[in-house]
Amino acid sequence: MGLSRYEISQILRTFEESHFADLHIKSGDTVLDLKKTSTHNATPPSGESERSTQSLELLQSTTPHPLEPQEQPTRYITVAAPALGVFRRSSPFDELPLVEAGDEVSVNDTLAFLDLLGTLTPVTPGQPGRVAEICAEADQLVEYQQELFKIQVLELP
Amino acid sequence: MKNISRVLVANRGEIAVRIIRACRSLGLETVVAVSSADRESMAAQLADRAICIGPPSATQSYLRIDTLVGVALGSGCDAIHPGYGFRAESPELADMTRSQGLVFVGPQGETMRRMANKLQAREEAKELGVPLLPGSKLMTSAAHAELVAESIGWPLLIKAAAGGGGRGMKLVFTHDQLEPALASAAAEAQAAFGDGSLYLEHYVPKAHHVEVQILGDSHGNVVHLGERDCSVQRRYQKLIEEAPADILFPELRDGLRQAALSIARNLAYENAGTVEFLVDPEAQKFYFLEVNARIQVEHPVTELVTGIDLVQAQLRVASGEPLWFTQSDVVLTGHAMECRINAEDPAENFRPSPGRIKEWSAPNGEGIRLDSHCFDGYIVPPFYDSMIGKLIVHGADREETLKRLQLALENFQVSGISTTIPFLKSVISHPDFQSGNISTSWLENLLKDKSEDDA
Repeated sequence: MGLSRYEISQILRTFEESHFADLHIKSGDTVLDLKKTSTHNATPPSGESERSTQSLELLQSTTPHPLEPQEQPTRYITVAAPALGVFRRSSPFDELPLVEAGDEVSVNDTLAFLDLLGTLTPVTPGQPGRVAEICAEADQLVEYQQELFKIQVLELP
Repeated sequence: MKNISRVLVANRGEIAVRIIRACRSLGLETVVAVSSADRESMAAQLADRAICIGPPSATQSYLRIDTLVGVALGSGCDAIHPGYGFRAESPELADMTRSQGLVFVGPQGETMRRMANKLQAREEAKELGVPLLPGSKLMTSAAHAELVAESIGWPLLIKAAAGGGGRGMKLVFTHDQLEPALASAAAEAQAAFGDGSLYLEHYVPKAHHVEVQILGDSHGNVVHLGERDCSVQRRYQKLIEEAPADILFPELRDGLRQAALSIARNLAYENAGTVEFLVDPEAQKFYFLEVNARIQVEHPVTELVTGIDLVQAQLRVASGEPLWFTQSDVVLTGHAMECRINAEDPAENFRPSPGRIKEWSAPNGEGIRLDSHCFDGYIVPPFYDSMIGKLIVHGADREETLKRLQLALENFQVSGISTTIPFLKSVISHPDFQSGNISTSWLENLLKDKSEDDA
């Protein structure tokens, strides 16, 4: 057993208020290596005079950093070709590509078409998100289930 | 090769491998269309490029004409070889391929249409003076069938007008069997061909199935490459084929070949095809059955006795090359036999046996050829035909060929799945087969007798 999140936060608060420059704690499978550092702002914001601030730097910890918010891992989905066809990035009525990398798309948006002897099959993401990568080359034949797009899934706030 | 530099192989299994090898010999590049179940197949490994065209289901992959033509165009192919089965005899595929400016390695779509309708094929053969079995026109009702049955003569074979391969085919011996058999045949034909039209033909119990290989070019030249005896059948499916057909006396053999050529010329036949006949050996008579407008599974036995590579020949004539030999150049040497090896369990009524092949140890030696797509570790998918290979043997005569075939089957080791190898060993060891005393009903009767003995 290691330290709980509560215990780690108590230790950090105590260490911050103490005159110790660094602190090493090992408890069970938790190891904390803490060190106080000085930060000098070259250009102080808001016209404030130069000042020295102290911050805590967690050098090593086997448990999540208690002071930083937990970052959600970025999730991607792959949009694969539902059929064989020539990968068309634009509609027959417009030369502009339907989407570009970075565009936000909703579940039924047409990302591209697969052209089989003039019959167009729309490619949709199936999930809302942001186009992270276009994986196939325009106007080239793509196979059944070939990776066409990587979509970054946008988490609801 | 004029017009062709890259070929789309629109098929799978052993014939896809066979076509790729023929292309390679002619210096042609290959693209093989594969379903997602065949991504790791031997054909996919051998071809210059393999493109996945759809899921395992054939209706969503190998049978999709627009997909096959689309993949050929998109991958820079200038020809499509359809192999056999799937869409090989589809006039729609042939026409669409040609309308897109590509070469179709097979006959004209119109030829396929004329021969796909079995009644029309009979009519055309009749006009050419080719003998036919007594038969009917299209059946309009069971009462109609009852009426014409007597004039044709019992027993009768009910046949599907739109198709072949044994589907929609029913054998009836008596009046009371006729009506239920018609209903069952119509349903089967409707399901298989989308057309439940039927006709009747007289059934010859001790007949041989003999077919003549034809080859035509686009310049009006047609030759035959001898005949094959394909009488060992189960459920109208061929299991063992041989060339030449030893039951034919010279006069009958010549008549058969001339009839095949006459039909081919009348069709202005292009590419490889087969004219099938029923032969009554006792009466030394033959009757026209149908034309198969494609390369046949059993083509290797003809290749071994003629020395002509039929798949290469298909590609050459499809490219517009005139036939490079005449009829008198065709010389048949020795005897050849082919056994179709299926992934089936004969002890379980030939139930398909897909799965991983643990060991694939094929025989080799003088006169032995194996056309297969299998290897150690290959998974036989459950979605397609169960044929996993064809063992083809050539010898100086039937006796030597048979001995070599027996030895080859003895040395053929496959484990992990059930195969028909042990069954084939017992078939070719049977005294009737050894002496050539067989017919199209011989194997069925043998199996029936065995099943009754076991019961």
